[in-house]
Amino acid sequence: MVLPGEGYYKGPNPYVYGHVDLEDGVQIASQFTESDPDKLKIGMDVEMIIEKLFDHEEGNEVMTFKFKPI
Amino acid sequence: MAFCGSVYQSTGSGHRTTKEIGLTGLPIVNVENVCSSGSTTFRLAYQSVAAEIYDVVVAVGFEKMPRGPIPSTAFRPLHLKLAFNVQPTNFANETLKYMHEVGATEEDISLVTVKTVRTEDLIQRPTFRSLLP
Repeated sequence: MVLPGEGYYKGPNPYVYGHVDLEDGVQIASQFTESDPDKLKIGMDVEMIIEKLFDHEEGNEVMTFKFKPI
Repeated sequence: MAFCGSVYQSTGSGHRTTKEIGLTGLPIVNVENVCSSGSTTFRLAYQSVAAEIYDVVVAVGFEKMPRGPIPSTAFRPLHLKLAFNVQPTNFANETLKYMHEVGATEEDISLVTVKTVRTEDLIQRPTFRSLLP
């Protein structure tokens, strides 16, 4: 089985990603906090949060931005 | 003249391949164009003959794609770390955006699959023929 990222990705699985329109007109690709794609709809309002993506082997937490439905 | 298409075979793949089968002395160009490497290889061969640069051109392919999502490095490091390199998902996201923008339905998109399967029927190379009723 080929895993997502194939060696680069160490985050949670399953995961969902898509695009978010920011207020200043930029569209950004991002993961979402919701891992069930049926619960996400185009046009819903989301806010950015920072959370842990994975634990680095040297002991640090690697953080990422994600968007959370509000 | 030989155009040699592949994606994941590294430097000089066409040269190494044609050397093994004895086509020495031919000018060789290796072609990589991601998903359309095969079509592009054929198109370049066709264009060379149509433009009357060569009388005979060989289009060669020698790579077998594995089943399932193919890991790709053609993404920014950040996008690799966030696992945005799942191309079927990227196509799906672009399709959803397109459907939202122009009002296309799932039925409209599925007609593309129907066309592909009917084409496979015509050229006798079934990959997805079982999808049709």
